[in-house]
Amino acid sequence: MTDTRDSALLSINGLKVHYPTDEGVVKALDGVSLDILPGQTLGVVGESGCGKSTIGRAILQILDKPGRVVDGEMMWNARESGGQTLDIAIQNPDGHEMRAMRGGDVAMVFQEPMTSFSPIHTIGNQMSEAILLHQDKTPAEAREWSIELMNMVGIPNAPQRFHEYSYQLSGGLRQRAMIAMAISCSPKLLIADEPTTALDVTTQAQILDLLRKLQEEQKMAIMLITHNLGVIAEMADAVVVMYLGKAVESGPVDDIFHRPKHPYSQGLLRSIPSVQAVGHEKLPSIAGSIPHPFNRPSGCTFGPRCPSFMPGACDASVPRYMTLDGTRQKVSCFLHHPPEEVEEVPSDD
Amino acid sequence: MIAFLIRRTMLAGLTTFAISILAFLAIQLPPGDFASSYVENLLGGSFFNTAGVLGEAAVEQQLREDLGLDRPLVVQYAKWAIRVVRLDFGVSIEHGLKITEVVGQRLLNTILLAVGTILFTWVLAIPIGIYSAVKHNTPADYGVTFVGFLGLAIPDFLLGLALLWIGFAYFDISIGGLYSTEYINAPWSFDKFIDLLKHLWVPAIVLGTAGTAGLIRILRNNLLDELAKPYVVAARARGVPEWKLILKYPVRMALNPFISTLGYLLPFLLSGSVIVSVVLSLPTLGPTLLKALLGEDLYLASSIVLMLGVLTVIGTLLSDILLALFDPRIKLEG
Ligand SMILES: Nc1ncnc2c1ncn2[C@@H]1O[C@H](COP(=O)(O)OP(=O)(O)O)[C@@H](O)[C@H]1O
Ligand SMILES: [Mg+2]
Repeated sequence: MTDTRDSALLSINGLKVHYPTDEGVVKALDGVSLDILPGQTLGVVGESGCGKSTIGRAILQILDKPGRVVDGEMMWNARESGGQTLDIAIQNPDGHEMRAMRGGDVAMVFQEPMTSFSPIHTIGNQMSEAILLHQDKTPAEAREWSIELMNMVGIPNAPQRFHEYSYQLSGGLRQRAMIAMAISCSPKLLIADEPTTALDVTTQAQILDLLRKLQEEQKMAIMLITHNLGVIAEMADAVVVMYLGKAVESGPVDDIFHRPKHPYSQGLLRSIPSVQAVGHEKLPSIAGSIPHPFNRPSGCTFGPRCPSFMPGACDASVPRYMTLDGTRQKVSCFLHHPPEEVEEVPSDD
Repeated sequence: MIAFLIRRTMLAGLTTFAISILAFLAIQLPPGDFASSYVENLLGGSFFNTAGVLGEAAVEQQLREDLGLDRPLVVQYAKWAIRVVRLDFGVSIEHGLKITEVVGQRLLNTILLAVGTILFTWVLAIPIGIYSAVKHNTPADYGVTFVGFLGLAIPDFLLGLALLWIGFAYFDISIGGLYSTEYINAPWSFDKFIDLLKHLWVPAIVLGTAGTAGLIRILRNNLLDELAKPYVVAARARGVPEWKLILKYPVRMALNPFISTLGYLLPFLLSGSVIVSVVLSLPTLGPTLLKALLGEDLYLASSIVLMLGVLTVIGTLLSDILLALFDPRIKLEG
């Protein structure tokens, strides 16, 4: 376990992000931990509202108001490039380090390629902006590089597209432009937040192919946020399953898909047709609905929806998130660690 | 863009034509015609009672023929329109002067006042609105909102009176009018311009406060909408510094309503500023129009309405063009 953390590009531990609203505090991230290894794709999966986008934004310190990191660490391992390890969680969001990181070492691709471009600036204007901010280039060089990138991601007529507005491009082309912009400064980590959700199936497959190709060429890590397990199966090396602001299970993609340990992961996997179901069986879905953000169950938050709920244990304390002996999976569930283990004082390793 | 320009210009021409018909018809409204009311007004005094009966009729007849009042309405309109295009609006019954003489200086003053007020409004409203939105739901934002509501709630003329009184009681100066006495009839010079600036700020503040408060609210709310949009988050995610990001993207979007209301400002100021103009004794068109209407001087009144209408059409056309230059999507929608 310690060895993955050391070699990780980004190691998030016990991260808590809260949105204090008028009605109460939304604990969007309630102690989430995950590691992203260099050059790998980490799939982050979970139902809507479980805090996936919040993690992505926390890494760049661009949380929507009134979101705040209240606890935990995000260790960015910059040793490879000669820098020091940096705890993103304690950086000033407007500080030099964070701004250099945004669009530089860490870039982001969003769900809505239409609205993620300014409607009153050309695609080229926005691409050049990212390049000029992070690289020592003249505007003419930035333009040249933008056009090269657009060729690279498969945008036809790149020199002409450079001068067009986002509304003049199709959804797929827009997302390609977004990806071209994201990789313009050779990021070490690309955060893709539901990059294909807004696209039709064919385009979706093309964009995923593109991401895979670019990852190979650029050797960058990808954090692929999605609620679509099919996308994860196709793309990810490792998976983190999230539920209500916590990671409940993680591990290599094959292990998670074939031997899921957490009842929530098992439920999620049963609910997709392409992976395990045979024929036209009715899809079983996870019983119950996501609890209201202000009204979290005590103990294991999945308890009320869990088919293996154990009264007296699951509602009494929170199961620890730890590696399961003999596997490469981490799970937070009393089915796998008896509650006694929790009585120890949680160590701050 | 060219097609857009042509379309908008044609539309502006059509609107001007419609306004001119309305103005022309307004002249025809009162019983009798221009000739009879002119004669009544100017010559109807007791002086002519004995000797003037014949002369009166002759003058009337002469006027009718000159103006073509005995011809069909269409011909009358054409004749009138040709004269108007040559900037010959006829004679004001009230003033016994050519309308261009009555209106000329005052129209210029009105436009200057509108420009001054708009500058005052924008210089104040844009930075405050941005600040208020960026710091929304902080004490600073609440403070701005409170002062804004005060500005909206206080009637203009009251503010004008208060400023006049403060100037008079504490500084012993009279801040009414637009020019010092020695410049009122002087030809334009640099000194006169400076003198105008010295006077202009008072009515600009008085007339601009409510508009400023309103615009701050509009800008703040537009900006709050824009700031939450994905393209702002995306720009932030590529490392654009916060202040640059706010100015480059959402502020430009939020400014659109400012530009599109540019054209309406003139008539708005005119109708809204009559009382203030009276209180501050401003030589603008507002009081003139009011008096013309009260005195049924329809030639003067409809000339003023026509001029303002045309200026408004031009203003709207300009703001449309500006908007199209500003926002590429508009060109497509036409
Ligand atoms: N700006 C915000 N203000 C208040 N609550 C928020 C805000 N953004 C997200 N949340 C809440 O935080 C939780 C996690 O949201 P999010 O990270 O967007 O989830 P996901 O991307 O997995 O759908 C949700 O309960 C959501 O309602
Ligand atoms: Mg999301």
